[in-house]
Amino acid sequence: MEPAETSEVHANAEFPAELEHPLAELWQSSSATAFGIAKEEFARLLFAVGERYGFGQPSAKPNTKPDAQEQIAFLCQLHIEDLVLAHACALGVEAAWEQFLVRYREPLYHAAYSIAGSDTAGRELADSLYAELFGLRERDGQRQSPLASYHGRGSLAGWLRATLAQRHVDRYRRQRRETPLEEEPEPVAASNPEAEFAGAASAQPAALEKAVRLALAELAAEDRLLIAAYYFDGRTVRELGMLLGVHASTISRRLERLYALVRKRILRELRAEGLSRRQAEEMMQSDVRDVAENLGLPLKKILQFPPSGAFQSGEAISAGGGRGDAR
Amino acid sequence: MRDESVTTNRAANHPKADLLSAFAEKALAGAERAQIVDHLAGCARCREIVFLTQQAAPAAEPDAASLPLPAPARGLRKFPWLPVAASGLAVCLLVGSFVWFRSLGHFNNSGASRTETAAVQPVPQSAPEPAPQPTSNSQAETAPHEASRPAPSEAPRSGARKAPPSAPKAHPAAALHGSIAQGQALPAMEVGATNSTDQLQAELTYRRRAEDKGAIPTAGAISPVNGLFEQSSASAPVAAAPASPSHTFVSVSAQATVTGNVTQAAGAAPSRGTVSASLHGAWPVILLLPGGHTAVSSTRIPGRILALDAEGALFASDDMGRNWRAISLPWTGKAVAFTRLAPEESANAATAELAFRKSKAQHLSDSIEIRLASGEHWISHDRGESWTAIPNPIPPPN
Repeated sequence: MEPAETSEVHANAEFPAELEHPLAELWQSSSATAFGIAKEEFARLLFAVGERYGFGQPSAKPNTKPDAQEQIAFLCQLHIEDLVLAHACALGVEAAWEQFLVRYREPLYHAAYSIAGSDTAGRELADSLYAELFGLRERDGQRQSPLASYHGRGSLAGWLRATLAQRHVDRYRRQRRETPLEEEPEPVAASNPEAEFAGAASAQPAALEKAVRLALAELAAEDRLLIAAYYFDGRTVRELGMLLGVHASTISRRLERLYALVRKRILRELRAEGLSRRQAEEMMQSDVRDVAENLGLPLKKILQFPPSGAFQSGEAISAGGGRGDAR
Repeated sequence: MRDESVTTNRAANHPKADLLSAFAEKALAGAERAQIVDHLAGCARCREIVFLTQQAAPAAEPDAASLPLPAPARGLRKFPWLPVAASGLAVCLLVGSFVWFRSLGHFNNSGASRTETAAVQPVPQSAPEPAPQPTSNSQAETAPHEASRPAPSEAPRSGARKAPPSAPKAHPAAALHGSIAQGQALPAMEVGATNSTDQLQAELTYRRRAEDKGAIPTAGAISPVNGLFEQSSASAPVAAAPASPSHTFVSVSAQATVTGNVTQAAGAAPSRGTVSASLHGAWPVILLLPGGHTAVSSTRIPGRILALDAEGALFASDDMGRNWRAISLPWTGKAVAFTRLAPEESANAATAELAFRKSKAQHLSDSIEIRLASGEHWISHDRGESWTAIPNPIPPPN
């Protein structure tokens, strides 16, 4: 689990004077007073969150950092009520915990059931987080609660779901790594996620591997995300559409376009290596098992899956060798 | 400024849950979003987290502030306004939480033991003070809005191996309308249904009008409002909610009318705004017993709730948890859990123990069994008033 001290923001940041009035207004309109959070503490908490995230501009250079208007605009986008509630809970305010219990106890358990896929595992997952949320862990005499690492970027309910998902995934991956070798069904690729697109070079066919790697690397990040989620993870176009906020048909068209584009680029790279078009196409149709293993890719499906109607059904393409998490 | 929250394709520096959930909720933009996308493109772990987060979310619920508002009704006087106290700027909203804890086998109240509120007491109404008269421009005309029944949540999307228990959705109902001046009472809201028992959580938000906000955008102007809920119809009892967020409430209502009022904090200047409300159904609730303990086990029979506290004391409530009375215990030792007998169990006379139960059972649905820490089992056939030891308890069916 992520150490809490690297995620917390501490409400002791000093904020510019021009933000004092807007922050005071935000404080007045929030429930901070109900939880006994003073105006100054509230203001410093918000400002600390803003500083942590660069007020929404993480790549801003020091001499172009956001001005006061941009800063306050960022702070207004935070889920302030959720942030106040989480902060009050982390401080151990009883009234905050009462509200938290009423609002989030059942949704937390229901989310855990959904994530874990069973009542038993879900209950165990929820119980472990639930106990930690109360700050039962202590460090240096201070009660530690994961709620201190919630910063209001998304909703508190969403943060709870993501935290549950994080724990579930990490536990699942730990269990897989601990599986004895003789139980492994087949060889797996490197567990380093970077290997998904840039695996170790193989003696053969090196040209195809290089071509695939270069072709995929040229894609925009969102396109690479689509290919990874669709081919590796087996996500449906509907799920991808929900993730990116577009219609499933948009995802379908985009995947078709990407399929054609990737094939075209791989052909280009192979021909740049000196192969004729026919040789390049034959190579793409050949047994690509070794390359697939090195790259951790369901390469056969990427190279050979027919484009027409491939993405219309909304069904996922199952990654070769099970879930394509590049292990 | 160096950003420590997001990294690119490095296995050791995954985005935190806050950013991943914000991405899933489409709350990120620009360079921040681009960084997350770039990381997700190369990290199966974080993709899995994001998709699980997305799948575990309930179906989109309408935001209370964005609910369509009902048509205004003429005149506020036709509604059972409550007297209000008005004095100040920031209105405080109380989330009136009507909570009901069911004795679900896989829930326990250990996490809820932090609640220290004593049993619910009727809330005294404060003396009304003159409320500001609404102007003709802002005559808030509202109409009670009937609550709709909650629908079960969607089954999990692909990726989950088993459908989880359905989670209730928020009622999109009971949205209030129009500008409401400080000190005005909220219109009545019909909730629940006559043929079922709902667990209700009423939540009200108050948003100042755009012209009152000044530099604060809409999102920053939403603030909680103290509300006072009282039963205003004879259809079903509703526990009154104290005007303080430090109290939780116990209530079961078949159908009830909920009203509330808007109060202002002391010293605040008058303001106007709109009030919206949403009702959430079927939340698990916390039973608050005398002595400040929460119930560790409870069971419900028609017209009565029985509950055990952490000390093993037994309480009964005949008014949906509003008031409790202790029941004398004939056993020594600590009662730890209820076990309800199924009618078919009582009817099965295959063993002497079951025959004993059957012979004593007058109302099978009212038979209740309690298990003690010592392993003893006691049974009651009169709704928990008197108890008889079971010599050799039958193990519960698998």
